[in-house]
Amino acid sequence: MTDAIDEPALTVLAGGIIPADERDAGAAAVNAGRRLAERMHAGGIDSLYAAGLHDAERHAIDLFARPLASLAPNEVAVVLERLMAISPRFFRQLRADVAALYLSDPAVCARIGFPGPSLATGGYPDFDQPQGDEAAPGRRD
Amino acid sequence: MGRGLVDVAVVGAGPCGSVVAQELASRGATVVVLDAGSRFDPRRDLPNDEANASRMLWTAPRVGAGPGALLPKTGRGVGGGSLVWLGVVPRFHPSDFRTYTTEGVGADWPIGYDDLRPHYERVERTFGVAGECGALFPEPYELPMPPHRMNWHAQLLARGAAALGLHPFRPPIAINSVPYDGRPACCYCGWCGSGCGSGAKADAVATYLTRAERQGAEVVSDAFVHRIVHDAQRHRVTGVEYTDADGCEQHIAARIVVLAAHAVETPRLLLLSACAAAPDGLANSSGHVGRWFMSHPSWQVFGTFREPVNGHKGMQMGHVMVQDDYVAARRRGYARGFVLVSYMTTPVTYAHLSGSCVGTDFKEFLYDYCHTAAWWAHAEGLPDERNRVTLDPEVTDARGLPVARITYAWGENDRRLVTAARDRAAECLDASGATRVRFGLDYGAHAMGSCRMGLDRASSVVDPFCRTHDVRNLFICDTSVFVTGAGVNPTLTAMAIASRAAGHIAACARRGEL
Repeated sequence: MTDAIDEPALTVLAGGIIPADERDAGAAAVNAGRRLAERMHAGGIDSLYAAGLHDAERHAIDLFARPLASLAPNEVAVVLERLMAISPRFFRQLRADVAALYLSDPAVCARIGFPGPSLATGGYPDFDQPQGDEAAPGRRD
Repeated sequence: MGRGLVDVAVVGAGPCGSVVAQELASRGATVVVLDAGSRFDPRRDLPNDEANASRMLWTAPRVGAGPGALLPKTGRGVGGGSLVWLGVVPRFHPSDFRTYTTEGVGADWPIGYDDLRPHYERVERTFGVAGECGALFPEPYELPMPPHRMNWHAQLLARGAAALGLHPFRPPIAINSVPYDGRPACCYCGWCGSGCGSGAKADAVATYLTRAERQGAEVVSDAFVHRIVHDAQRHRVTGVEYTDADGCEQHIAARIVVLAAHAVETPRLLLLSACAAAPDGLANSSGHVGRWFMSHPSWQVFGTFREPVNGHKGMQMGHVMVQDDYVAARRRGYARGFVLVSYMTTPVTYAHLSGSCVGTDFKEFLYDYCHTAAWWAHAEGLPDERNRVTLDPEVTDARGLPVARITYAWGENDRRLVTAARDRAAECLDASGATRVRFGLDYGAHAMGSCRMGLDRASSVVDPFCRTHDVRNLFICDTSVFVTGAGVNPTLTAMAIASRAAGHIAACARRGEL
């Protein structure tokens, strides 16, 4: 299956965009690589992603003489930087897609302090009041 | 069974097309409005969900070319851009219409602020606008609703701006601060850009189109107009051809055609309508259809604070504005001006507006969400003939029609101006007490100017009343006709121009001139 081929590369790139740390597994916490591979092969983003992944693999070989999926986080960062310069459309789309998957997870929203939809509960009557001093749960000071 | 001949076919059911439809229907004209997108029921279709925007924005392919390649966001659906817009509606200043005379850049419009004043007032009343005109107003004016209270986010921003001697104010915004015109006051849920589920935000459907339909206008959704039909012998247009929701070809015969499909699709439609009598596109004897395309150079600037800001509580944009740098006397090393507008949004859009950082920096930025405030630094982009919309020679849409290709390069003044705007925003955030200031996305906002208005038919596409120079019963009523873009949000001015044009169309029709 083609998505089985693309998933490791997408997982590595997604992890480079939102990395794991003590708070969570980053993009991996929402299975971003697998979900993007599925979306890619469902046809919605296939041509842009296919070309972008081809470029990313090429940069990995050019820069580190190893396939993308085997690169260390600092090496993935270099590949992403190269993609930003040379394949900006793919870079922007990938970054936006990874962020959207990550930030659509209610657990992530809770960690960043975003309560989610509020219309059904009447919005925010305290919108114009001081917002206290309690930091968002996942925030580093 | 097809329709009979109608008086007016309006292409585009956004704010401008809706103004024209309502104003002509109210004068007894038979009007059909066609839109390529769907019709939404806000209460059913627009829950708080960032995914809504992808249904209401133009997602068919477009090609961005040139060194400043940009693809401005445009709406799609009955209501057009007003479904996803954020509602900030300041008036242009008188000097915005005379940039060449006053500063030697851009070009003068063939109309001025005084021509639009009654139409500004009319649109503000009908649409429903809350706010104040600010200390640096184009002229003192009253709005139909009191200003919104500033959210905490805006209060922090205003504190910094005021500390620098600037004049932050609560700008005109088309979101109800009190119940108005049968719609409720805003509950500050913070999801304006995903479509307003409460109905507090003015959009073209709830205001003008509802009235127009009551007055007999028909709105056809999922109708992609791909050709304006031209009768070369009579030098007139006779209607439009469109693909309907079932993919079937349809035709509407009309005495008058009004294009209001925005500054990308309007010139595309004119170019797609090329025929033997107009081989370079309809209304394009000047060769200026698609040229002088403009956008607003802008920069998102974020400031992070120790204490929570919770900028998601409140309207996404426009709780506060700073317009001090619109004034010529304050300018240093560049022409024209800029504004700063408060702009915080829901998390996915916040991430998008952050620019291009990845890795640890990006993740820290995401986790600073509730502690972050933001100014949108929004500047005037000067017109340049080389910035243009053409038909792409290779890429086609799902119907096999060439898509719009937008070729763009920012000018030196644009770069200097938006850099000054960005730096002013950073200075304000420092003064507000931000512990960290980050520059986010720089991009082109709004689309304008691809069928510019003018007196000279050799260098413009429409006359001062939006009638095309070439075809007397073909009008363009959207931001395409802008001669310059000013430094503020364009929709109110486009609607005022459309209102003025509608009055003229009605008067001409009465006199039998159309």
